[in-house]
Amino acid sequence: MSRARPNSGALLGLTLAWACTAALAEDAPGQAQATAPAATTPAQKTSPAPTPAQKTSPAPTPAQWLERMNHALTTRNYDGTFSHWHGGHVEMLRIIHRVQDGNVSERLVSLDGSGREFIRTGVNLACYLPDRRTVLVEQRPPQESLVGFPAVDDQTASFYDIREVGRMRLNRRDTHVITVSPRDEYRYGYRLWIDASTAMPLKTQLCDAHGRIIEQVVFANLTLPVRIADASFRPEVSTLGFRWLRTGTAAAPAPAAPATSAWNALRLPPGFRMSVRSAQVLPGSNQPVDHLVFTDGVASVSVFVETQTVVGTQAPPARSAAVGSSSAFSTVVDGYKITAVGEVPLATVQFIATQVKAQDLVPAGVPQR
Amino acid sequence: MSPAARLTLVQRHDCELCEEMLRQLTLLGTRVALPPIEVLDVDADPQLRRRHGLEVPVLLLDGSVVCRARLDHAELTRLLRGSAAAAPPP
Repeated sequence: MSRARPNSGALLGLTLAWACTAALAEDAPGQAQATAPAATTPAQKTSPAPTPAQKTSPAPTPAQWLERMNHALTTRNYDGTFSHWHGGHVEMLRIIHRVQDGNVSERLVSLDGSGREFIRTGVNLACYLPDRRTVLVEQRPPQESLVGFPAVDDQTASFYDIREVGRMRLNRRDTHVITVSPRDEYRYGYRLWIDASTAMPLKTQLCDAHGRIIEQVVFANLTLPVRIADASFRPEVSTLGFRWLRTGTAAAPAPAAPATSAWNALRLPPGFRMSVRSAQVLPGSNQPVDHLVFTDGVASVSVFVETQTVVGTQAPPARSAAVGSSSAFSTVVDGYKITAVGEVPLATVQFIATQVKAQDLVPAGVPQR
Repeated sequence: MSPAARLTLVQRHDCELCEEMLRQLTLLGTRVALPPIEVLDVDADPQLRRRHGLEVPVLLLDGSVVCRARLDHAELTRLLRGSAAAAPPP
């Protein structure tokens, strides 16, 4: 299998959903930051009389709840601890997210096991990997947050059935339970418990076509502070003696070789389209890798195309793997290794990888030694 | 804590007590170094179901029951200290 892209979302399987059975505390301006789950105050228990505008405004649709949730995740300040369940194991993590003067800072820290940290400031993402004594640094588009749920448009909605299936009390909070169910076998579905007052997701699950839970993320606590200090975005790990690796930037122009600009998929699963095409040099490699992203708006699949360097006369067999919610499939076409990875069923990565072809491509030919 | 120590949460999906125990474990994990946690679905294994099916969630430390239904912080902390004391020096 090809090396993994140093993508925190891929590493943690957190590109989409959030789960949270957390008590949720929100700072009012001028109040100190809450440090523990806050109990409901009498003021919160007694809702003020609705204004005329509130009386007449229609209830948000399920898709609007997803929009509100995404807006909350990307524009609010928050600091939370959560457990991430996948593949029979639980990892505990802390997320800190701040928007200040239009600049987004995020820090995701593994509280057990590896002690990994991911810190994003603007377009710069640093991945601190103490278990490898390595720091990976790359640039990411500013809109590519460590957390968040993709925007749902009309096209996306045609491939998913988005419904509100009920309202639930979760840790003393009112939530709207929204399901995003795929209409075919090429994508996973989601269940989200969205807080009625803040629109933060209090619980989410990633489910397969049979409704089985593949992944769940559960906040243990979550606060929404007005201010978060700069110090919160410094790594706890000492990087003394660490190796620093920097990837080719996402904005870097693709190499001039015609072979790197012609890759595309001849066919795609319904609703998928190419959203990104770039070239980058991954850490530890001096060969540029073509990176294509195909998405249906909710699910996405990354495809990496690199020169096949295995010595031998026969192409290696295609390989597939499933780790937690992620599937991967690797094959060789015309001397190039094509690897598709995504938080989708295995059939989807297999479909896409086997359809990726180069137009007017001169085969790489002789394997490199 | 012994390097080999392992916590296992035997649970059932859509079980509020199970989620609450996991939430309490997560909070404890911000203050105390916990061993890796494995989560088992009690309904996925007939033996697990026979043994723990009526009393989930159950928390095990290296296979021995720590607590059932609700997280017993004191007992878990005590057992983890004992586990650390019993561990051979590095």
